[in-house]
Amino acid sequence: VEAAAKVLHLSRKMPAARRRQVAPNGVLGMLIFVIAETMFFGGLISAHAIVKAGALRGWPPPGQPRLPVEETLVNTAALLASGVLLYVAQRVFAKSPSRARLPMLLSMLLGAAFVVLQGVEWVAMLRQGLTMTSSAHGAFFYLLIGTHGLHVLGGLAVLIWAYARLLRGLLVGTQLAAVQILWYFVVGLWPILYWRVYL
Amino acid sequence: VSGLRGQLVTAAGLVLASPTLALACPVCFNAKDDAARVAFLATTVFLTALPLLMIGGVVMWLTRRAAAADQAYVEPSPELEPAAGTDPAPDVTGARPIPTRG
Repeated sequence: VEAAAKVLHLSRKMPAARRRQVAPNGVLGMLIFVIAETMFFGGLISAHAIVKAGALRGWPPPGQPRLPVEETLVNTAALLASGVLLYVAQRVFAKSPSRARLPMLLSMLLGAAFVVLQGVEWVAMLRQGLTMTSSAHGAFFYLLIGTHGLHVLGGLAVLIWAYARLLRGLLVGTQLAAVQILWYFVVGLWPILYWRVYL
Repeated sequence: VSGLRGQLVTAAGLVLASPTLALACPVCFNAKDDAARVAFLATTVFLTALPLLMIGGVVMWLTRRAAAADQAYVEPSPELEPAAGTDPAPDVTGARPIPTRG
């Protein structure tokens, strides 16, 4: 107890410059999470690239349905617009938090639209015979795109949480920053996946 | 075979008798053409550089923020320093003081 009291006393004496917090905990935690997720997707994308390059009969394999490249462009545009709107929401939030409601709501709706449109696309692909077991092409499609879809759902859940706090006037800038990091990761990853998997 | 020497002779014999190559990369046998070899090389470079870049980026960002905080820090004036023998800083945490012996 005496030692603890001594440490407490020393920490009080320590200059503020030495004890300062250079980054909010939420932001730093989210950055570490995003770094781990980036490595996870980096591994999946690398595996896909190697299997695709080693496919002797071409890619996609013969007899497998082609992916809806044009339709998915609409989804891509929706997700990118969602990211832009969250950026707008953050800019507005810094000046007047209540005015950030609309861009944040629109951002969430566009994110939800992306998930719904992807779901419609998946149903069509399953009806055409593309499944996890139909080929390596199908397995990678559902693994890569499905994992990203799960991340979008997670990002949407966090966005809804932040929006609820915004409505109650409880949202603070550092919380919004942590949410933004996750959502920008999800949005920024998608064009890479689209390029690697669809094109 | 008993004894360390016997085990070493057996292991050396097995290695010498083995007709196949020992590949450094356990999956590179799959590289049948140039495209596959390029894919292996590119993904190796990608996965090697990615964590270094990301962690390096975060460390650089934190270092810059710490430097900026150092520059913004203003030394408190001596008039505001607590007098000797008094509590150096008010406890704003609401925690009860830790009793000391003696």
